[in-house]
Amino acid sequence: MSSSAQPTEHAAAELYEAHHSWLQEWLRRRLGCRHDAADLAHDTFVRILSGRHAEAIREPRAFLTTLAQRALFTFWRRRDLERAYIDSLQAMPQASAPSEESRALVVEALMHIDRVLHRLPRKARQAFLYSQIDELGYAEIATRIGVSVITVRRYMKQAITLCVASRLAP
Amino acid sequence: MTAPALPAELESAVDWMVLLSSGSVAAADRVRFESWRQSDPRHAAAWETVNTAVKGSFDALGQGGQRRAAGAVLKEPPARRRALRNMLMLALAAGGLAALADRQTPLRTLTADLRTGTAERRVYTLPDGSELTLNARSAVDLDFSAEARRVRLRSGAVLVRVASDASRPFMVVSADGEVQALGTVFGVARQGETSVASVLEHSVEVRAGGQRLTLHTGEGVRFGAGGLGQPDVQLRVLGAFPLDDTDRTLESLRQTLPIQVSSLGGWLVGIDLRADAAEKK
Repeated sequence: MSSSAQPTEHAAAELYEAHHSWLQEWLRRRLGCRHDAADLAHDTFVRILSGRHAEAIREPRAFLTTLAQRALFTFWRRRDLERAYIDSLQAMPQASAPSEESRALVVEALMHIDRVLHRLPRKARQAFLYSQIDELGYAEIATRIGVSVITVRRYMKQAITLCVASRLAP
Repeated sequence: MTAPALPAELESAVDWMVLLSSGSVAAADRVRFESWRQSDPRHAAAWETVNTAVKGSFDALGQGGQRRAAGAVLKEPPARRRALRNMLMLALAAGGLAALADRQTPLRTLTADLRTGTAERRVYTLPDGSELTLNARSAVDLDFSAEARRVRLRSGAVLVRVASDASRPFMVVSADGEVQALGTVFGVARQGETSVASVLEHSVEVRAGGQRLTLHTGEGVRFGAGGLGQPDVQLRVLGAFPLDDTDRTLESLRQTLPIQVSSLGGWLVGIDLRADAAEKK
């Protein structure tokens, strides 16, 4: 294992040397912020180190762009969810504002749940959330989203299966 | 969608969880569940896995108002694809919403109950459970009474998902007329000296200048002091406000605009001007 890690690290270092500033500039143009771009460029190279063998990469810039694009989407997604969460808290006067730290945890949990459920149809997602968040029974959920109880059952099965599947292969 | 296949024990455990979460579980089912769980250590382990997988992620959301706030975000999550934002701008431009192009927040909106600034779109949950999406540079006042639920659109555009309440009609009122919900999801946008209503689900009744008209899914109409315009399905592009069901949004945009939409798999969606439209440019 350690013998094969050596050349990979070496190749990754070369990749870094050759393309890091280019990638950072590419990200900066999309983010409009040097610090965020530096962070994401860093994340992207960390992924390369922890992932596929860098020497096998034939088109380094295309490969880096793909990874950086992914990091970019995750970054935007986290920011969108965080903003939506803050708005949502403000719309609920009775909700006390969570500390910075617990907010970060909530946003991570939102990211996770959002990723797990994103392939579900909207109503299935809502049915599952009414059950988990609001602890409503199926009859009530069926009424709220305008489907039959049997459909709610099917939605629940889809959603729970996705949760379990994501746990098995995160 | 098709659910991924799970090992048999896990699948059974999922079925038990579906059954036990229903809110009305028969005592006999509880007994059957307990005997299933205790009959085999693999069953108990599978149950543990499913429980952790489902409840684990939700624990971090906290309790009470904080948990409900997180739930509201997840139920109507912000638009997933960055590309859609740009396309929304394109859609708005194509829909003739150029009136929104002024970069300033109009002064009159500063005192509104709910408002948004430039490049900001917000979703609010109203006291009755209805959900209101306010487009950028928009403002509304809420006027909820025992008889009716009124949202006064002062500027911009709003999309409403109405919680049903037969005893209190839900209306969006603009200076140009009013739009009453007969179903669930519709939008109203102020454009200069007129307003436009469009229906995403079910129907609404539009009243303006002494005229009234029922609009159905996919239809839109312009209205103002002079009454109602011709219903126009082309105005369906206003349905681009909810970016939550992105596939449907894309499809409706593809139908109404000279664009082509191609899925590049997973996160990415490509959007281009259609060749015939590009040539004309």
